[in-house]
Amino acid sequence: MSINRRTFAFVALALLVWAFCATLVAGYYYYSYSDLYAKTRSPVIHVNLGLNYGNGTVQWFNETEARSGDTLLDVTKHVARANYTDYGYGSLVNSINDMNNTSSEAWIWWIWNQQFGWSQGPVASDKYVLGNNETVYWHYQDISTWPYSSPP
Amino acid sequence: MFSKGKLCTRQIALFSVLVAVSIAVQLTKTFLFVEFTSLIIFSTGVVFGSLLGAFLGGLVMFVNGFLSPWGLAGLNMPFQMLGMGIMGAVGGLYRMKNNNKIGFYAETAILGAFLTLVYYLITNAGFAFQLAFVLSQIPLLEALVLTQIWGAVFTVLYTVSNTFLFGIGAVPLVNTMQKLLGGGKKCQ
Repeated sequence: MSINRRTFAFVALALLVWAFCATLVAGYYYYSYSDLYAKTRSPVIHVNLGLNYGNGTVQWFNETEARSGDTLLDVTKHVARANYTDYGYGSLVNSINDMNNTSSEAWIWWIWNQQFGWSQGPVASDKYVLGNNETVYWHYQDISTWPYSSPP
Repeated sequence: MFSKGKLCTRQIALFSVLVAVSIAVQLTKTFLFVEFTSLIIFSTGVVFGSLLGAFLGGLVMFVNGFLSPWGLAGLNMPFQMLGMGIMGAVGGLYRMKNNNKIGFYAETAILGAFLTLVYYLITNAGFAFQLAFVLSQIPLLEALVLTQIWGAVFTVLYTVSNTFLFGIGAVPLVNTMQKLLGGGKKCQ
């Protein structure tokens, strides 16, 4: 059976896309599983949570006890009044302790890494499962300029 | 297809409408992993040629970088412009001479999947650069791998949705645009 070059090229392209997608999904599940496994080995974890209201007031909730598997949003709701909107693939925190997001200021979350310093949260707060002894920080900050300034 | 020489009035009018529609569609919030911008830009590339297709792709993402309902694109904007520019440019390179052949539906579906994958690989790489040089000090190679993994769900879902969208919509959309331009008659 002969196959013309154009058809062959498109079949090859389809297989390439399939291979890439399969690799990405495999990588994603491997990463998610490893990360979750490392974070849920003990039933109870302790995390440090900071709230910076952007007006000079900073609250720290050190050694906050949480259940293994709790997300940042779970712990935030535990220590403060958090209002949020669930968009299906991630929740947007609208306010913490009645400090509401505006068009120019909003609650942005950061995570501390001994090696790299503060990093902006890579996913929505309800998608981030906290690990033992992690330090996370909500910063009510200016979002009109990019990049957002990291916590002090 | 119409890239050689000056554009006629009808072409300019259609292209202007496509610019407005693409920007409006891109700036509208969608939640179900379906976006129509890529399809419009790819089809524009097929009808108007690589140059105008790439220009439209770049322009839409430039505007989106400032006015997106999800917030400022920031340093990711050039990567989004590049990704969407490629979408339009490849449309111009694609030869669809007999537009009613069933094979073209399959080909545009595969091209839609491929171009969407390329777009998300590029924009995820853009986020990796931000992560490595602006947001944290993670080494670039590690950031590139991490951002592709973090973005994998979005990449795959949009790739699947655009496979169907291009497969169903690209051929009729291109045919419609060509009919509006006179269906091969000399444009005035």
